[in-house]
Amino acid sequence: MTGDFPLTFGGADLVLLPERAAYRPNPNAGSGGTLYVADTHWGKTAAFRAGGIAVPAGTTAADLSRLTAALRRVGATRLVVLGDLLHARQGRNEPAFNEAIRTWRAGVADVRIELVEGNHDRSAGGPDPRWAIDVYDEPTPDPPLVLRHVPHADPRGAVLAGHVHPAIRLDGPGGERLKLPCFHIAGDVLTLPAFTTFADGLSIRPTVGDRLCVIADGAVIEVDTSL
Amino acid sequence: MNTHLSKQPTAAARTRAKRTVRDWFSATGRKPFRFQTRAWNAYAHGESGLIHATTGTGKTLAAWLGPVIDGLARGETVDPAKAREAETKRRRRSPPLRVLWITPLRALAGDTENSLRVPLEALGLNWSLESRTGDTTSKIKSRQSKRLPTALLTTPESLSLALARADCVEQFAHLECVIVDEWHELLGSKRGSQTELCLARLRRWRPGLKTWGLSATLGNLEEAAATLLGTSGDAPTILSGGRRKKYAVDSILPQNVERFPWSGHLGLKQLDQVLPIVESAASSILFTNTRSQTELWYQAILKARPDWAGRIALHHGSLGKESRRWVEAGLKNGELKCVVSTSSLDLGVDFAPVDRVLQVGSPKGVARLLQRAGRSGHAPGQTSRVTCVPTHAFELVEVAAARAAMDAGRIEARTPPKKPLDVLIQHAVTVALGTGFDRDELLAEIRTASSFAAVTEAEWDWCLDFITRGGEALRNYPEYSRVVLRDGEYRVEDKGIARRHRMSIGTIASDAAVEVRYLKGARLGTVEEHFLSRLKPGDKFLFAGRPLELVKVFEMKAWVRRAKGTTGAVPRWSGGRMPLSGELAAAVRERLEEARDGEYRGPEMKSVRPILELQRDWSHLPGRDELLIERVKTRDGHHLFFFPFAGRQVHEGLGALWALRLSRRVSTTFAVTVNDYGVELLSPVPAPLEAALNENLLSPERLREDIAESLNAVEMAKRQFREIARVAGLVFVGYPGAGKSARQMQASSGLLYDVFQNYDPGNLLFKQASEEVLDRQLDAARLRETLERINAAKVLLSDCRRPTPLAFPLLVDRMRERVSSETLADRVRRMTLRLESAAG
Repeated sequence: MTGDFPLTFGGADLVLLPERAAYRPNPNAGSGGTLYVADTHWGKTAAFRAGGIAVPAGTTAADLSRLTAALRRVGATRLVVLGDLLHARQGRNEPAFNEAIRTWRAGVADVRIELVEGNHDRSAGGPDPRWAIDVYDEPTPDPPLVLRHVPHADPRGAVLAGHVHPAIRLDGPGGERLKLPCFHIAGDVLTLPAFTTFADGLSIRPTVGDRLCVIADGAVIEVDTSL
Repeated sequence: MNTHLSKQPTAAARTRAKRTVRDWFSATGRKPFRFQTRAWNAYAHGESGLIHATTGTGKTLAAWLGPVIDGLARGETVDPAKAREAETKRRRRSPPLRVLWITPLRALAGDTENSLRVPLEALGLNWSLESRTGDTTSKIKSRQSKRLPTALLTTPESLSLALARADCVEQFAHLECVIVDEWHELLGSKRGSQTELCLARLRRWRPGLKTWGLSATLGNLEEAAATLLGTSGDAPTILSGGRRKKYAVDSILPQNVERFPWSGHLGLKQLDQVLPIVESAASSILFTNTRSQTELWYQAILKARPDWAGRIALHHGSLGKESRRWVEAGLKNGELKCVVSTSSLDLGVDFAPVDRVLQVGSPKGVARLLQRAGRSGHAPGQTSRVTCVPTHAFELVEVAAARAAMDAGRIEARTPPKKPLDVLIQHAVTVALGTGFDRDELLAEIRTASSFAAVTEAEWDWCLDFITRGGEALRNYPEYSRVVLRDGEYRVEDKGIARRHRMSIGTIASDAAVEVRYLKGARLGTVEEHFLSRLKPGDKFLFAGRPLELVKVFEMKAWVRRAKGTTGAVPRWSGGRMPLSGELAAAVRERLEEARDGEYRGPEMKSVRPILELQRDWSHLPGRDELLIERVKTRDGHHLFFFPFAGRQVHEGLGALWALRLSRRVSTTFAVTVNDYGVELLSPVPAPLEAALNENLLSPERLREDIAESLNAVEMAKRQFREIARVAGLVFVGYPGAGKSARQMQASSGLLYDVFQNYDPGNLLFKQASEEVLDRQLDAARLRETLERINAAKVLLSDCRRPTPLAFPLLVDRMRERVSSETLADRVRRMTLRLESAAG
């Protein structure tokens, strides 16, 4: 797809995808690589419903089919979630939610799924064993990279992380304004945007030397930060 | 409980009671006004209605003494033998809740309570009188939950909360009268709708309930009275405060109008002329239109006159309760020389010592100017005088226009919202939480509230389905339940849901408020979260008249310390951009037409003449039947300026409409800027203006459809949805101390809007947002009227070499909306990274 954005990061070849994910092809073959996403916050609307707030169902289902589509498009055989797979303990036992996850998992049974545990996962109680998701503590090495939930430099290698849901404001002539989710590279740390669309982005303040790639209309576009 | 309490007094007893009241008036050297005695008689006859008059004319006693005379006639006086009894014992012996006094601002409750207490004590009634607001201590709350006082002062929100109690029917079993103070403040808002629903409920329990409203003068008094009384019952009695007050409006004229700015809103240039006025007045109030202006003016005055430290003060809605009380007390006892204030001092009891009122910037409306002028000159026969301090040249025209409209008695109307379903949903959950309800009975009840008279069966069923099953989109989620239907009765059963609902009752939409506190602990007030989000630790800002440094933000509190030296940002609060009212806008158009014809009447128009003549020479001065359009090219792009002079609110709609119609002819993005005079459309390529003018650019046809289609409408609906989502209980505004479970149910209303748009587009709350944008935010009726006027007007198209005095303020304004026919990716490629600055 023309909207993908390839780059070399910490000695690894990565492709930033407009699906709010990063892909690392298998160095030895064209396909069978790893798809990295962060902050899927599964069950967030279920938590709302459990609390008596009538949020329509559909976001989790839409997020899941977006995830399947991304896995299939690049031919990934491994999925790594960089924390906050789940949102909260409330609503976890909602049948419709559990049914949706089980159906989805069966559809991508050929994909190995790993989770680097985030703060929400800990309070939500971790994934259901039937989902077949391997859970790791942060940081966990994935040579030449290091995987974390909270963005933080690591002496063992360049870091992929999530947690902050980065977004950036852009200005145009005459006061035009946009706020878009983005990938944020600060030194040896690459922070992915939140995969779920049901979460607000946090406006970040890049410092000199940072790289920013925003997602707009199915394309990843690098923004000049040299100003 | 004494059984004689609810007995109606005899005519003779009533005559005696009235004589007692008259004697009390004479003993204090006063005589009741005609409208006051008429109000007492109307009350005795069981009538309901509205009393309107400006502040300081005795409205409070007109409404309050009706029930008081009734109490006297029933012999409800203090037994002299028991006069020394302990207060708690007296309270227990006092008659049960008889009168409910509703005030729009809880800050007013204390003062009102004091003024209601005066006649009770003077006349020796054995009534108890208390307030119940968000500020009430838990000790008083707990004794009120056992038994309410004879007269209770409360806010619409606290009344609504009272209806959420299981024993509310018994609590109100002896209620005879509800008095709604400052009804004009509530009328045009959803708090008014909430009040209507509460009143409908009380009236069902107490069929003979008398309702009286107190209001400032309005353009639609009959509608105001009818809305208050609801659809059941007799026609309202409307009484006018007889005494006509004299008003004088003047302005500080700029010494050199040629060098006076064409735009801006601070007006600090006029400080040197304001100081002598403050000096000469015994006590004055300086009103501004925004809270940030208040902070700046306060600092500027203090800097110019350090000797006034301690004698001048600051008052706005974000300040802590203690500091506001201190300021109000200082004004009342004449200790303060000057208070710089926003609309937070528009309402409330009289500040008798105030003899001068200043208004910085345009008052934006005739009623507001009257209200503010009324803050001065309380002594009988005195003239209420307001001096306007224009902040830019065209405000001189607005002042001249306001004076003309005031003289002609053209005062704005306030229209109640039409059946806001968010308020209805909140109310239904409240009632389910209180007594529980039956579908048909509650529908019949809410339809007696005027604003909800037209609620259809289908809409009602939708609301009930929404609160019980989450609506269509949650059909497959049987676990969802906010309200439970069991044996035909709707009830709230879950304790957590009940608690959160109680905490979120209230309909004023506001950004989450963050408390500002010193590290040592003292509270300073609150600021909107939005403002705080633009500051980082170490940044300095001005608040409560002090330069502060942000240390950290933690648990909904902003911890600060005193900053040394000068400051960067001044809090910029939302709500500061009041639109010019329709009445004032029409008066401005008249002044400009006179100016076009060379007629400059009054000191303001004479002062601004050189600038209006410059406008005429560079372009045109439009008459009432002309539409001026100016076209200019600058470094920023191609600008089109339209000048309908219809007020910001209508211009927002016109801007969206015209940008959409033009963008259908060319692929580009229009930046739309509006102010009270006109609309600016800025585009990177020239707009096909002539072709569009020849076709349908100005046509009122397809107005609703075109506006709804514009990108602007979506953005505005999103913003409007914020309020709706909060009222209907879809979002919680963060409250301190909320547990983790509450935090995990927080989402921004923007996100929720997107979710509803994608997965539940038939949701009526979602539709309500678009309708409210059209009807309330853009004022569709006025928009159509304006478009019809413009369509019939003669177009004056003027190609200008540089921005004219009229265009300049639009050019420098930074608040812009977008209407685009480009793709998002194309827009991103044109844009640059935003440089965040502390000043924002």
